Amino acid sequence: METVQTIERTEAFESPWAGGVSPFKTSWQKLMMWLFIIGDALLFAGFLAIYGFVRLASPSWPNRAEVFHLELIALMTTALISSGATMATAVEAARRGHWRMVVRFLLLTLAGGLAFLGMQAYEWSQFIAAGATLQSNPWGVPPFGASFFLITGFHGAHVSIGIVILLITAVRSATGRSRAGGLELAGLYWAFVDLVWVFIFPLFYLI
Amino acid sequence: MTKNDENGGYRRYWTSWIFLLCLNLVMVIIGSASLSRNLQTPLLLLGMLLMAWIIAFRFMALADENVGLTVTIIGCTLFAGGTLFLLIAFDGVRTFALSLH
Repeated sequence: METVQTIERTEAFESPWAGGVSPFKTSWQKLMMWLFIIGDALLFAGFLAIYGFVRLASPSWPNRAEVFHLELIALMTTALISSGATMATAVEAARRGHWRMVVRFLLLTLAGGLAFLGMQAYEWSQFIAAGATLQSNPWGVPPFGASFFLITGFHGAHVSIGIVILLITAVRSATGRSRAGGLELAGLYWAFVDLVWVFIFPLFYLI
Repeated sequence: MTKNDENGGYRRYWTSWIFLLCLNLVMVIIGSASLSRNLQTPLLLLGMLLMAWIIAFRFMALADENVGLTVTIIGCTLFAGGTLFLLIAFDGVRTFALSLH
């Protein structure tokens, strides 16, 4: 009976439809992370597409130079890009078994993420102080405030979740309970947060 | 693995980082310059795609992945994203047409 089950399991894993034990020669955890990233990317793509149509449909749109502090947005982008580089370095160090270096670079990544969130909180507080809400704003184009809070808020939520993941990964790495594979998954998520911002930054703030 | 190989592995992330920071600066300059919209928008979109490519292939290490996986990820995202865009586009065009009346 046990032999039959083993044969069935082996056949299922090795059938062409199942993709073998390791489809695309990668771990199933990593493959699932990529699937999650594709799904989440579509959510952001939907938000940005809707933003584009709302903007096209509006007879006027606020002048971004009057509304945003571009220096602050550039600084936010710098913080996030830098944290992406430190995270990639931490993942590489984990692959080589340099765990002290991993912890150091994870803490730097955390600092970058927290700096980004702090600047975003400041930007939001300025917007709210100017009278912007989801329904209305002083610039007279209601969808502008709604798009701003929705898109940057959703991205900010992703950064916050990333910070929690990084914190757990840093603690686990410092206590010797983390593995290179786990760190790679955390690294993929953090780079995805970076990637999404790279689309929001020009489409919302510059164009 | 030699010390040079090790440093080379780390170096590629930091050269990408410098390139991304330069791109960030150039995009902010283009975004705040008084260029014509027909020139500014394509330049910013090009910068955006270049930044996305560097992050995906370097920081997400897509360049080191199996070719099948890379093609699947990029293909799935483009196909599903394109379908989503088309689905929204019909409503978007209708809304745009209504706003003109």
